[in-house]
Amino acid sequence: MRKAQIKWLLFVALPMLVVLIYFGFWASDMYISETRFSLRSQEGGGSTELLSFLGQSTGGTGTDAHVIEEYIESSELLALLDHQLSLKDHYQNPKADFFSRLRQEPSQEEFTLYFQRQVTIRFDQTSGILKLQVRAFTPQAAQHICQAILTKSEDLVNRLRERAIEDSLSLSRAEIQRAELRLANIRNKLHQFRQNHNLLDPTAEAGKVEGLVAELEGAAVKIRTELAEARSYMRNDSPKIVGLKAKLQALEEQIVTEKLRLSGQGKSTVNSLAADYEQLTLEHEFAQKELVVAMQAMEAARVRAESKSRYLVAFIQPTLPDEPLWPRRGYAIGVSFAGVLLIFGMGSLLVAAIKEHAGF
Amino acid sequence: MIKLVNLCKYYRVGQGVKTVLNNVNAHIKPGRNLGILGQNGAGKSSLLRLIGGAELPTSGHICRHGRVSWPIGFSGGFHGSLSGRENLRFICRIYDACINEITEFVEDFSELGAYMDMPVNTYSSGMKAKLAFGLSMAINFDYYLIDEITAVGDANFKKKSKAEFERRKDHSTLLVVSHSISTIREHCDIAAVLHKGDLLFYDDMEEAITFYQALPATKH
Amino acid sequence: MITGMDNTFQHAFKVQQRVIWALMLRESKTLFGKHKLGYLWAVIQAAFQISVFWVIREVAGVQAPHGMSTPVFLLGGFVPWFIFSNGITNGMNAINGNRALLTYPQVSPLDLLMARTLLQGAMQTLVLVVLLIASCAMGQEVSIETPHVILAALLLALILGLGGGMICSAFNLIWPATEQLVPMLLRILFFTSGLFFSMVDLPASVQGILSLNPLTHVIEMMRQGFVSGYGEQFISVIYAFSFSLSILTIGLLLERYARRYLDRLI
Repeated sequence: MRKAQIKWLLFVALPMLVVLIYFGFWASDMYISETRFSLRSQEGGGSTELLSFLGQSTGGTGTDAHVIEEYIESSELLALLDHQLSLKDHYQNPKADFFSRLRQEPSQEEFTLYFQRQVTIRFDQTSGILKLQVRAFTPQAAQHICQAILTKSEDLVNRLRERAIEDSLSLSRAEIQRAELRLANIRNKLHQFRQNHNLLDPTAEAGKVEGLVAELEGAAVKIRTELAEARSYMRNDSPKIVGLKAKLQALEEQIVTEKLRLSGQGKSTVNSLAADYEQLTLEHEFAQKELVVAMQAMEAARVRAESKSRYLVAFIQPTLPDEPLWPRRGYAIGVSFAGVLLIFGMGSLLVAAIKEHAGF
Repeated sequence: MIKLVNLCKYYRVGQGVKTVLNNVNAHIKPGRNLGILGQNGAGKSSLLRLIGGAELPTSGHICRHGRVSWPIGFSGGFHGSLSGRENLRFICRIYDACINEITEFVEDFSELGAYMDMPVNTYSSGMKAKLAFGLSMAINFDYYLIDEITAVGDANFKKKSKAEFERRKDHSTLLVVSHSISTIREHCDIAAVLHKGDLLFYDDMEEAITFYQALPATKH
Repeated sequence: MITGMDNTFQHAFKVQQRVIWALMLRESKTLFGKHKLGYLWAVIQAAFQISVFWVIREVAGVQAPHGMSTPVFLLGGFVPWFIFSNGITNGMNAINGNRALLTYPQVSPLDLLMARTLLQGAMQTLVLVVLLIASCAMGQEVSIETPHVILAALLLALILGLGGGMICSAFNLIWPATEQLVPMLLRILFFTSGLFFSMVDLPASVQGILSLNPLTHVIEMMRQGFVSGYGEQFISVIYAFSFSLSILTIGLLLERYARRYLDRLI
């Protein structure tokens, strides 16, 4: 019985006494400031994917929330916060008890680890809400740190958003540039063409020549009729007929020249110039349309990216705690008691089970 | 020495309670073979199992100074589908005995021959008993707990075992339980009677036998 | 050979080690030695179950999460499960099947249980290694990123199996209907422990309920050992650990309580 009592004292009573003294008298009060926020996009609230039994999750706000979770636990954020609020000084407060405060001259890793213990960030998949809790030795400090983390997280989300928009626009932007370049090229060519051939519009020119030919032909036909009529009552060598003949010949010659100008052999006939010109104007029109389309595409992409991108919305601002809720003394004592009992019980049962083998 | 201190053992039988031992205190000293007489159902085997440690007392405790064998006589501890040799190995392992030495001794003592490599299922009860007996003889115990010695083997084997017992009388003590007076008389120096939960010791064997014979026959 | 009695703890511990070792050797013969294929059966059994679910997942077109290959994902589920469920079923029958051995005083009921569970644990670990190598040979991607997490998961499965086995064997002694009841409970656990699906994929409400089952944590831990970072938001090592230890303690207590029922049946 004696021995059992000693064991009980040593393995249960003593550890419990230590726990009681620590949580009852020694442990410093800490205040918890809390904020809740979510990531929202214009397409609707925080998203939840209901998944099939064997299915798997996909991106969505979930991934962004995990980015925030990681960021809040990162040493990068910690460095920023430390710079801004001198966190080290606060957590090294000599009035705080040895186990709660941060060691003097901690390594970067220790500091990060310590800070991670003071900050809890939870993401609830169902509601898409992120819950951030920060512990500190004064209510104000807790609130300030919480606020700072929230601001920095918002900055991160904004940065991410801008980056995402920029990324999705960069493609259409390149497209527009190419279209613009092409348009400028064609305009240049068109200009060159006009200057080279000294005409504004070969198509119009061709029309003009064609009109001229038609006119000339009309005139020739008229003269031929006149000639035929005159021959019926006049001699062939009569001056009228000779005059008409000469006129007709001149006209026919003119027609041949004009026709040659219009569509004869060689490059610079009016018709071939018109064809080239038409090609150029077509290309010009096409390039113009392309530019318009590229611009519309960019606008659409911008709208899409904006609507997809997420904003951090804090719907519960960091609270200013008025009661130290940490450590949870009763809970800690209860859990320690259960744990000590469990370990002691299991230990003595195991020892007893082993001891049954003594003496054989 | 084996000390029984305030030893009680009850079994629940149906609705009732059967008392096997009721507050027994005893010292079993080394060097003198002890026979325990008891009528059928008096709890002889249970007592042996308690002393051997195979069962736990309801209350009280047992101090053992010396190696105590398992209750020999019934070949309970063998696995039927394993061979005699495999069973032997298992027992050697749990008693931390040298397998080669023990095998040699048992092969010689129990005369099983090729049966050593046959599954224990195929053994006759006599063969099983021989194996168990040989095995217990091979491992040096300070106390041998023997349940109904007559059950073991034929006349020749009995002679052999008797000789083996004699040989190691200096450092081993027998604890024999039996309902047969002749067995006890043959092997033991002192005797006790287990009756109605009491273990009554007699320095004089004949006194014990007289008392035992005077008990009314058990009614079933 | 005859030595003075040694009642120290160290001696008792040595004896127990000896006994468990001897029992394991013996069990390995009685459990696996009967069939011609012997040990191979354990591998075949596991391989068969895994291939069934592999085919189902392939037909359903479901990929294993987190870049794991399907056989590795399933192995992560089935190996701890086999350790646990075999621990329970074997443990439950350990005493009935080996009652004769209790004649030897140094063999305690607990030793019978522990020997069987340890043997199963070793066996299933071997199965794990063999099937991992096999999947590797089949061109599946096999990575073991944090071996200590795998070992911890195997150990927790072993403790759960042992504790559960002790509880079941105790109940079996007190109330023989346990033998009929336990397989039913095991069936339920088979479907709810995440052997062939990932906890991470489930809706939060279902996840919350299933996370009460410590085996889900152990299984997800096992998978985390293969691919680190998997299931981080789900696994609670502390929960799995304290649950296992509680089960073990309850098992040890019940084993003591049930001893009085043992005598009746001898």
